[in-house]
Amino acid sequence: MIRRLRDAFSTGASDETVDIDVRHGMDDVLAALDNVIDDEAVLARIYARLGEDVPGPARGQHTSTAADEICARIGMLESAITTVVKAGPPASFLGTVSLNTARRYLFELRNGLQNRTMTAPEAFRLLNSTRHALNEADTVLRRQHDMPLPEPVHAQIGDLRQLSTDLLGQLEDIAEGVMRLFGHSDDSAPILVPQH
Amino acid sequence: MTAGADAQPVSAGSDRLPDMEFAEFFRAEHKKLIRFVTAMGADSDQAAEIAQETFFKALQGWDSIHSPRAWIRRVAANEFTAARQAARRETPQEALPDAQVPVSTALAVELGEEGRRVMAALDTLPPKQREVMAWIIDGFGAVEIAREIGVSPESVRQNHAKARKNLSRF
Repeated sequence: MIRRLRDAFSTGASDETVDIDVRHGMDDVLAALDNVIDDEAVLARIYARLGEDVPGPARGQHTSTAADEICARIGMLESAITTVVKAGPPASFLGTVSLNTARRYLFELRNGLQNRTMTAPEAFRLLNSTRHALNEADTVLRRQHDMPLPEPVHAQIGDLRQLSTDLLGQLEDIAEGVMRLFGHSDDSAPILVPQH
Repeated sequence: MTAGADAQPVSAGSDRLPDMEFAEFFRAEHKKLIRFVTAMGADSDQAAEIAQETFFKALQGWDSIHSPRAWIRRVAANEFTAARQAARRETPQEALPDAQVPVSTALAVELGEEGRRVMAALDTLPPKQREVMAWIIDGFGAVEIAREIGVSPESVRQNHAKARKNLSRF
């Protein structure tokens, strides 16, 4: 990130590049918090201090909805990327950067669907961005896999390639599910994900 | 529900969705508020405690809060600033109630390299620049930030520009 910041300034790129890079880094923090914080437990404690219960069925306790199922599948893709990337080459490795970018888009998509605040155009934009990042990872990794590299690195690249190929297939299934959620709508008005 | 002392409308432009209930708002914003306080300089455990206390105040005054996204950030920022000043005076602050969220250790395991680098870069900023960046990260503009933190928009823009410059040097 910092090298990108330096590059941004040395090449005269917009100041906004710095904000974008900082936001990307802080999206990582949000994704990490998502794995650590139990919202429902904290919410229950807050209501308990007023002697009240959380109104309505707490998320995670209600019957699984189509949106929840899609979110669970997106979460699995995020976890798969996290696991393989952590075990793989350094984060600055180009293929790893693209996979992390795809993970960030998936996180934004899941977060929006979970919060029932995502619009259809935004969901489709994130799906397209994820697809683009995965294709980019695939291209870079294929090129690097053909290079003469130490065997451990070669094996790690192989794992990443396999992952990006698998994810592209799974992403299409998720895209179909998201389209069904929105009833194939291209309406730009805010749309609450249906809970059925 | 009775409005708390902090529960005053903070801006003319409401960011509250129609009929949004508190629990729904909490689920959408809780982790983002922890991130906001972390971006300001709190460790993640302190940020989780401040976020919890802020949402408790928000629940108490929910009916009178017109711009809750901005409101929770302003209250949390004030809470963090007060805690930091108290720490400087070496006056032990009363522990926040229900501080049961051990976040730091787990977060250290989960956080990726890019997140670590950005946090390290933010650590180099002076408090005012860091505060402005925390609001910028969450998508607020100079005028709204100025209103929330009580300075002029020009001051926000200057601090933002300095922060960008400092971050690029890191």
